[in-house]
Amino acid sequence: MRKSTKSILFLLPTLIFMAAAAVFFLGLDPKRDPTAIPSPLIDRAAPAVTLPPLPGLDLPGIDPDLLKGSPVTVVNLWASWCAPCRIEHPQLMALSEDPDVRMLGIDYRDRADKGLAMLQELGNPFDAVGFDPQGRAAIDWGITGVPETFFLDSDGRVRFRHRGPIDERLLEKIIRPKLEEIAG
Amino acid sequence: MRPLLCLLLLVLVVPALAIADRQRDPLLEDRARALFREVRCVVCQNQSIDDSEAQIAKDLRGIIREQLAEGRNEEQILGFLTARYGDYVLLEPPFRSGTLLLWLAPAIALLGGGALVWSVLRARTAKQIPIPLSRAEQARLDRLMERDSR
Repeated sequence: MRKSTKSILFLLPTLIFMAAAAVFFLGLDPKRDPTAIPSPLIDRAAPAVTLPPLPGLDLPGIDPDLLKGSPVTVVNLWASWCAPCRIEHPQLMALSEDPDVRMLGIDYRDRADKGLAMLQELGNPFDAVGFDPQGRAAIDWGITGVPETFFLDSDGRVRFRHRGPIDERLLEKIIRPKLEEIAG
Repeated sequence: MRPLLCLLLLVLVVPALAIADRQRDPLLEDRARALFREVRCVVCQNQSIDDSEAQIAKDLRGIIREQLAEGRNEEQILGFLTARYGDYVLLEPPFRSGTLLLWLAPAIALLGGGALVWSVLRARTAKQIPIPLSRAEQARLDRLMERDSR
């Protein structure tokens, strides 16, 4: 071996260490969520699920036609027994005031009277609410739990998905800019 | 002896109760159970839906049993699940271009390590070829040996 190649070999452990350190440093990014898994629905047509209306509520259920046509359609899966959904509710009320946004709700694994009572107590942000007591429609959306919210463009394609409650900070920092981007 | 027998019976009975919603047809049930072991419980930490009592795992088991009863095959059912949850729902990642490195990394590491060890060993043996002594060295060695043998 020539001397010059030998000296490169001496540097090799240092180089490997530096590469590993860079990878670990990127892994420490506080904004990175290792449990976040991208939804396979992103940029694909929203699942064409039909759901009956929530009994007692004077609104239609979920129909595939409702998933397109509005600049932005928000599909929110919720339940009366879900505490984070109650935390999220005021943000859904605020979203429903946007004229560009159609709000669809799916009441997941709930009792109809309890779901209805929650909307009467906290207000109804939805234009339509589907009732999914068996949780089957929720699986078509690929959810892991409630609340989970999908943002669709006017063609009914899923553009963004958020797992967990949308709090005030998230609404302003992430959701509102996303809405603008989707409404384009 | 009797408490031991009771314990044994309990151990045998409890797992049977745990899958109360199982299929009538034992062949379909075997296929269902095999699928359950391949499907990740999406809210658990690295657990299959066969092991999990989470609501979503129960729902997924119900769907798999239903689809098997309707005559769908394993590939169709796993396709149904990955269309909704992505590859994440499979406990064993599929072998395709995007996962090539993941699957081949152990083989690459083994071959790379083997090549490294081989080249180091070869370099070491190459160095051990004895260099003949110079005439002066040989003469000194002879003198020393002679003195020692005396």
